[in-house]
Amino acid sequence: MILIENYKKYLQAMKLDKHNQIKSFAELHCDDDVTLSRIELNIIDIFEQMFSVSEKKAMSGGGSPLQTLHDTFLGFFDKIPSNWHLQLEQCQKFGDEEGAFKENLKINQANSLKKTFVKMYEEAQLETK
Amino acid sequence: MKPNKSIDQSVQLFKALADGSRLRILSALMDSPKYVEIIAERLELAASTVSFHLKKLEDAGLVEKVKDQYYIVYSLKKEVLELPLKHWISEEHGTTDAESLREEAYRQKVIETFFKFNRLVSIPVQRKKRLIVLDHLVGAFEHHRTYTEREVNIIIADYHDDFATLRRELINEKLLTRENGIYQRV
Repeated sequence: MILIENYKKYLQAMKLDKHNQIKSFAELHCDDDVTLSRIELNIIDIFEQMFSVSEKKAMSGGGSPLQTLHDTFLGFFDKIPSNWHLQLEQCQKFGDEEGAFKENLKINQANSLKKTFVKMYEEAQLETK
Repeated sequence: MKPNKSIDQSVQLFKALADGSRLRILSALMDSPKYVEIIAERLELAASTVSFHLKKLEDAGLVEKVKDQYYIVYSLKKEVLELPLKHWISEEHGTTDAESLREEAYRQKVIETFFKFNRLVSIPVQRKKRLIVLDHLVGAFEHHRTYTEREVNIIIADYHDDFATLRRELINEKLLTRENGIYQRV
């Protein structure tokens, strides 16, 4: 499936970009930026794993593989960040601006991965029609 | 060992400084106060990341922010940056210095708010602020010199049209003395 190939390539490119960022920040002694980029990299790693799980499910089950991949993978974007939203609320409630920033960073990274997947999925759908 | 407030403040300050991005932000603020967006553009960082670093610098007392219409402008707290290194490694700098720094920062803020182009915009209603304004105003008078009421009025009128109220306030707050129509700075 072209969508799987393209999205895996995108995730790999994102990871490489984050690794390069971490290296550059470390060279400039920007320790907090290294930490922030690592957080983003972790999020990409998590959703890369979730994508593999979704891929396996799409390829093993019945029905439309594209639809199964879409539904399964997007389900993780509802489930996993829900805890980050709760944490964000807590941080905002108790004035923990640093904590809130980090939770927002995780949520934004996940949203960015989701947005790209949806875009690629819509393109794949158009191609199959 | 008990936590030492002065050491805690020093550690917070050094932690804030021990980061390349934050040093670059401080460097960007050296020439003039700036908006977050301008700093972000110059440093090629996301505005949200710059805000994250500025918060740490603000907590460490190294920068301060002022709201300018829709934007927030950050500037260096030069009085903190100009303190010698030994001030921060001495266990004795304690809370008194920190408090006096805060007081000085507050005083500067009040002066910046109430004085525009060296004119007093309005006389503060709150006594604490009014005292700061009066204390700043009395700086226009020389020590060990006497002034006639007319001279006092002319000096005050350079700052504000209501020289009579301000002259009376300076007397009431014992910043000027008046004896037989002759005024002198305390």
